[in-house]
This record gives sequence, C-alpha cells and structure tokens, in this order.
Amino acid sequence: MPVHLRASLDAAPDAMLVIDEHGRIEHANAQAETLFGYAAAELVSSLAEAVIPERAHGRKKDGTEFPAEVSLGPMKVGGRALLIATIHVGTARQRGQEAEHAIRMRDEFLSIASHELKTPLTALQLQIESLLRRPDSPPNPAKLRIIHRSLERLGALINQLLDVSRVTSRRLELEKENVDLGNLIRGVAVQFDDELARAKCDLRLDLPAAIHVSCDPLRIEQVITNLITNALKYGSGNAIELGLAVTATHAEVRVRDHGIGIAAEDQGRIFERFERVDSERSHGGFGLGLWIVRQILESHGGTIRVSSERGVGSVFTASLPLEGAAP
Amino acid sequence: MKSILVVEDDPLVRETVVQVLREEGFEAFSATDGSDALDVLRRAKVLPGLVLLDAMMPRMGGDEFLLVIRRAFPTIPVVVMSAHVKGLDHADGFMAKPLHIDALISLAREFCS
Repeated sequence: MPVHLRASLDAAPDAMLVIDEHGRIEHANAQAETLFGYAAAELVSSLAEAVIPERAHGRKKDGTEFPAEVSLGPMKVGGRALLIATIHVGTARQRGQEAEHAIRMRDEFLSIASHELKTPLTALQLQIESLLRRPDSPPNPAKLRIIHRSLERLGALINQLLDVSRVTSRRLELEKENVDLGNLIRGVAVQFDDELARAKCDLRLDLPAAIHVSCDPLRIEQVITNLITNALKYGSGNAIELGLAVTATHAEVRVRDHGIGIAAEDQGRIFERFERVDSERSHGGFGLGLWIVRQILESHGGTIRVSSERGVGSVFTASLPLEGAAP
Repeated sequence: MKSILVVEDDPLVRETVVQVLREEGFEAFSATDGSDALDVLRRAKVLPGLVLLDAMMPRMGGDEFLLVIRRAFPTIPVVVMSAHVKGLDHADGFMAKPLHIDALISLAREFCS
C-alpha cells in the first residue's frame, strides 16, 4: 500500500482497517490497535471477521465484544479492489446522545467564557472611562492597580483558552528534562505569596529531599498552579497543604484543602472538559483547569485523582512516573 | 442624597463600581453576595436608594436575593448588572456588563439624586 495512504490512515481519528480481496486485514491504523487491543503486526493477515464479526459489533483481543458501527468503502489500489472499514464505537443512538451532550457543553462553555471575560472587562472599562473623564488630574494608584489586576486576569483567561486549543489539537509538545520536583513546587508556591496574603491563607509545604522526574517543567508548573488556584478558590480561606511523596514507581504531589469539598457523585466528572459542579458555577473560571491538568499528566504517562468529602475538603493527587529520570 | 449598595462577588468589579460612584459624588457601599447584603441592610440606619445587584454569586445568588429583598425591603429598587443578555425577572432595571460609566452615572442620578 502506498506510503502516503498509510500516513493518512494513521492520522485519521477513527479506527480503520484496510481489508484485501480475501477478507484479510492488510493494514490497521494506530486507532485500530488501541481499540482492539492488538499490535498492528498481529492484526495484519488475520481475517477481518475476527475483530468485526458483524457490522454492529467489534471484538477485542481479550474477547470482549462492544457495540459498534462498521462502515465499508471500496478502494482501488494498484488495480486491486480493497475495502476500507471504519469502526465507530457505540450505537448510532449513543453517538447521537454524545454529540448532543458535546454541543450542549460547548454552548454552555461559550456562555461561561463570555461571562468570565466580561468581568475583568467591566472593571477595565469603568476605570479607564473614569480616568478619561478627568484627563488633567493625576491617576489614582488604586485605580491603576485594579486596571493592572484586571489585565492580568484577562491574560490568564486567554492563556487558558489557548491551552485548551493546544491540548485539543494534540499540539501539546513536551520538552522533557530532568526536574527536581521539590524545587519546581517551591518556585510555583512563591508566585502565590501575594494572593495567599490577600486571602489570609497559609500554604504549608512538605517537601522531602530531592525527587527527580523526567517532565516538561513548564507544563508541570501549570499543573501545580492550577491545583493551588483551585485549593484557594474552594478552600474557604483555610490552610492548604502541599506535599510530595514517592511510591515504588511514581512521584506524587498532593494538594489538600479544607474547603467545601466535592460530592461523591460529582467527583467522576470534574476532570472532564467544560464540566463544573453546578453549585460551584458561581465561583468563576472556565471549568477547564482540571481538564488541562489531566491532559498534561496523561501526556506524561501520569494520572490525577481526587478524594473529597462535602464540607470537609479535597485532596488532589498528581502522579508522575519516576522512570526515565536521573537520580 | 440617597446611597447605593453594590452587591458583587468579584472584588475588581465591586471595588471599581464603588470607587467610580464615590468619585462622582455618590455615597456607595458594598456587599460580597446576597446574604452579606441582607446583613448590611438589616444593620443599616438609613436604607439605600438603590441596590446594584450582580446576577451570579456564590452562597446567595441574585435571583434568590431578589426574592428575599422584595419581601424584607419592598421599597428599595434593585437594578441587575449581568454579563448575560438579560436581567432577572422582577428587577427594576438591567445593565449589561461590561458597564459604561455614563450609563452607571445616569442610573445613580435617576434613583438617588
């Protein structure tokens, strides 16, 4: 099969198989490997019906079957008549519901985003119009401080939007280096000094001797920043504890707050994009911070998890593999 | 001249609206959400001539506050400020965010001069 055809199949978002005249798989793209649990080399030359026994079902390597829709398209390559099979997971109805949910989430997100952007914009507009009313008097420093903070807030919101677009379009390229996590955390914590003082909130660090991981330091700083920001936002002004520990295979960063907590039924979806717990909607922000955290950690081979109790507080644990780091 | 109570959870907007109103010669004070505003009103010696109310706030939001204030202080007019396209039912007016200073000043004059 021509190289460029292979490349375009591999770039496709769906699982796809190229099937020859005898019903045998000639090529399986990376998404098909992930979906069926086979390596491409195992799939090639086996009968397509081993993994797609019917048009409405797929079968994984471990034998489990799943509802799917398989669409077949004929293709001529070098005079041979081949078939391209595209496998969509789920029934048409399920996918319709997922699509509707995605559209609803997107619309809601746009409404939240415009609301969030208009808030600092309101402060900016009023302050600047008020300065323009008295062009000859020297500007009051308190006004300039509010203008500056509003600009910073707008900048942070716009950066978050850019992050989402980068992560969504898979442009999150990691520049990994050997990083001392404790040092990195101290560096992030210092940036919160003013904000913590304003909120009269303590940030307690518990950082043992050097723990090294191989990671993109800017991205992991962003993870820590997002977790501290959330702890401040939902921590009701109580002290925040930030600890670092190691297991046999992973470094774990724990951020504990003693705030409003998250109900058990909501804990599963807080890492999804545009999801925010309803009762927290009025706390501001895009509802994207934890989703970004999860994407960054997963792109490092790590994870994020939460344990929380309503009214008691939350512990977020970001875990990064120790593998590949120099001691 | 009657005073203005600004009910807004966002500190930048709250400080700004109060500051701008004071610079224009109005007496303005603030609360951070609906329940804080009710405390402020219950303690006030003289009731304000206008409440400027943000629609979306934690603890007690704008719509719940509006229901309570209508029962507890039926004479105080309430104007909603919101980044959404419309205000709340039963409010006496609506100002879209981002606010313009001219609109804010004429509203303050209308209710408090």
